[in-house]
Order: sequence, then structure tokens, then C-alpha cells
Amino acid sequence: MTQTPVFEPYWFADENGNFQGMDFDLLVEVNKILDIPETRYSTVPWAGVLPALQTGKSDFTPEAIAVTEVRRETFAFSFPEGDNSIMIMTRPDTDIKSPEDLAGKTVGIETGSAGEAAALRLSEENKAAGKEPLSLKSYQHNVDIFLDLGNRRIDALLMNIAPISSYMKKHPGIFYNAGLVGEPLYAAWVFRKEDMGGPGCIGVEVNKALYELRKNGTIKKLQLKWFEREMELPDYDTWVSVK
Amino acid sequence: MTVDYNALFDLSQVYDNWRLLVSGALMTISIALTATILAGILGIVMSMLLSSRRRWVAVATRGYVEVIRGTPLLIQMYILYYGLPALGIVLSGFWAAVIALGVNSAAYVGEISRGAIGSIDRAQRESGFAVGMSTFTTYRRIVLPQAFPVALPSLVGEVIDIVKWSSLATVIAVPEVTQIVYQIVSQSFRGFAILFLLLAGFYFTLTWSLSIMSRALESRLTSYRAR
Repeated sequence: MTQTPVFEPYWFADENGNFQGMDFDLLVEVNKILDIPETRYSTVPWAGVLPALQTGKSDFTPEAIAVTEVRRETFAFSFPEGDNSIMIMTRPDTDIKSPEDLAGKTVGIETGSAGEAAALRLSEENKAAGKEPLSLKSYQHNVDIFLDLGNRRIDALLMNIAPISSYMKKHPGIFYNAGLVGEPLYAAWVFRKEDMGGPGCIGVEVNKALYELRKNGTIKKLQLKWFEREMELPDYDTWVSVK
Repeated sequence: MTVDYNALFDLSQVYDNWRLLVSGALMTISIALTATILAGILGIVMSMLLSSRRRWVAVATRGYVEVIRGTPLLIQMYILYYGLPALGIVLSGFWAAVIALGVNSAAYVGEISRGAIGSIDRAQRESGFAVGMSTFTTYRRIVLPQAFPVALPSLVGEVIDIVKWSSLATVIAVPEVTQIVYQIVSQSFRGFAILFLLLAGFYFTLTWSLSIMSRALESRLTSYRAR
């Protein structure tokens, strides 16, 4: 498993370096069902996670990843476990209150993230509508983007709800959330397309386990444990894992 | 497992993004150029300080050189960019990268220049003084023309290092060419093999031309020896 442990509360490492989060708990349950005794991990920056999967360095990515259409061209996605929409985070001293206010602003994004995709799309839409595009600044780690928002090098950042909520909870009163951008996104694990090919393939087996875990209420329980709210999920019977 | 070569070598990713790639390449070149100038100036100052007769100056400079050489450039960039704001100094990514690369390289340039000047026989300098030249003229007309070709290959090596290490600026959000490639690749992961090969090719073309120029210059500068 190749992963980046900075995606609280889905997937992160605690002070002692142990993995934590909804994904970790879910993986433990899936391993129980599939009778997998041990999982090995290697840690890489986020931009390296999906190439590792694509080139066969890892079996799948146990981190909740936002399901986007661009990613669907290359990868297969398991049944979603939660939501992962993109949110704007800013400081109270900026005049950013909604996505429209981002025109001409410097916006921090993580390389390869769904936040980056949303920011690029917004920028293109602005250009098409004759408005100023966004001035984007790319980072390798989402922690650095929070720092730079505090350092006032950027006016706002675009990231998934999950890490923004955790960060704002830990640093109350400093930052401000200016709403969601783009359409709602689901969070799911990523597989190579060939591993969703048919019975016996790892992706298909994991999906079967997830199906069971949703039915017996485990997924809901984990959502409440890590997010303190129940998240809406799509119908697994009509969910398309491979496009 | 089967690898999808069409996806890995998807050339449309290069065509569709050529403007971005060129802007990244230009950013890399301007970082490297500015850092080289900074390293040259600081390096000369450093070499003079290193051979200073005042002991504390030489000792302090030596300490600086050891600290800079003994810590990773990546960490230095990180401290300049993310650490300094705690003291109220907010550098842009470009300048944090230039200063880190320049200051780092200056430590080496100082050592290289000091070594090269030291390698020129003392008698050369003394004969300069003997025919009535000032210290400045002696250095300009006798010592430096001989020391420069000695130092040249190592100095160009430093410039080559600056070019290559400028890719580290990716971690401090500078849109240089490596970061641009990450950006293009990371959304769909199509074409990442071809883009990274091109990226390596870009750095190699740059550094290889530098070493060709260096060798040409060196043989010109030392042609007096053959005469």
C-alpha cells in the first residue's frame, strides 16, 4: 500500500507514527472479511501515490480519494465510504465569501488533488466568462498550504472537506470556510482497472467486503466515529467501479 | 500485471501543455541564473574571508561554510520559506529558492576559489611585486588568469549542481519545470513516463551544454601553455 498519512480524519498518522482514521479502521474490517493477515505500507508524497499504483508498486490505495471524472479515465474506484467535496478555506480578513470571489486571488492547492482539479475548472470558467482567472500556487503537502494561508502568502486554499474540518477544529477562530466548490464528490479507494476485472480480482473482492460492511452498519458507525455525522452514499448496486 | 504503455507515453499531455512547460523551463533557468550570480559574488567574498589574516574572520567564515555544507539544501529551503515567517520575514518562493541555492553554492565556490588561488606559486606573486605592480594589478594580471582555469571545471560543476538542485524548489511552491510536470501528470496520471523523460532530458541538455562550454573556455584560457 502506498499512501500519504496527512488526510485527517480519513487517513493520517498520530504522534507515534501509527496510522489512524476512518480508512484505517475500514481496512482492518475488510482484511478480517477477506482473511488478509498483514498489510505493508510505504509513505510517499501525494503526487507519487497514484503513479505507484499505476506502475504496480502497490496493490491499491487505502486512502479515501475523491472520485473525479479525470481519474476515472485511468483508475477504478471501490464503493464510496463517504463524501469528499471541495471546500474553500480562507482568513476572516479576506473578502472571499463564495467561489465567485476567488477571481484574481492567489489560491493554494495540493499537486494532484481534487482541489487542484476544482481550482483549474473554476479558473477556466472564469476565463470563459470574461472574469479574472485564479492565480494558483501548487504545494506537495497539504500541511504546507495551511501554513502559507497563515503566512498570508495565499488568500485562500481549495481542499477536501475532511482535512479542512480537522484543521479548523484544531485551530479555532483563525480561519474561515467560504463554502463548497463544484459538484459533490465521493471518497473511495483506488484500484488499477484490471484489478476490477472480475471475480477473484482484488478490487472486486474488496468491493464485496465493503458491501457487507455497509449492510451491517459498520461504515455508518465509522462515519459517526470519525466525522460525527452520517454521510450520504450512492447506491452500491448501481455504482460503476470501472469506466 | 500489465502496464498500459499508451497511457504512460501519452504525447498529447505534452502538446496540450507546452505553454506551461515552457513557462516552467524559463522559471528554472531564471532561478539558476540568479542563484549563480549570487553564488559568484558571495563566493568571492567568502574566499577572501577564508584567507583573511584576522583569525576570527577566517574562523567565523569556516564555521559558516561547515554549517552550510553539512545541512541538506532541502531543509535550508524549507527553513527559509516556512521558518522565517515566524520571525516576520516572508520571502517569495522564488527568492527563498535563489537565496538557498546561492548561499549554499557560495560555500563551495569560496573553497574552490581559495584552493585555486593557493595553487598558484608564491613566486608568481612576488615577481609581480618585484616589477612594481600593486596587489590589485598582480592579482588581476598574474594570479587570477592562472587560477581561473584551475578553478573553472569545479566552478562549472557548481553551476550544474544549481541547475539540478533548483528542482527542489518544488517543495516551496515555486512553479519551476519539475513542479509543472508534477502538476500536469498528477491529475490523470496520463503521460507521466514521457513527461519525466522529457524533464530529465531538459536538465541534461542544460547541464551538458554548460560542460561543453566549460571545456571550450578552459582550452582557450590555457592555450598559452601550448605556445
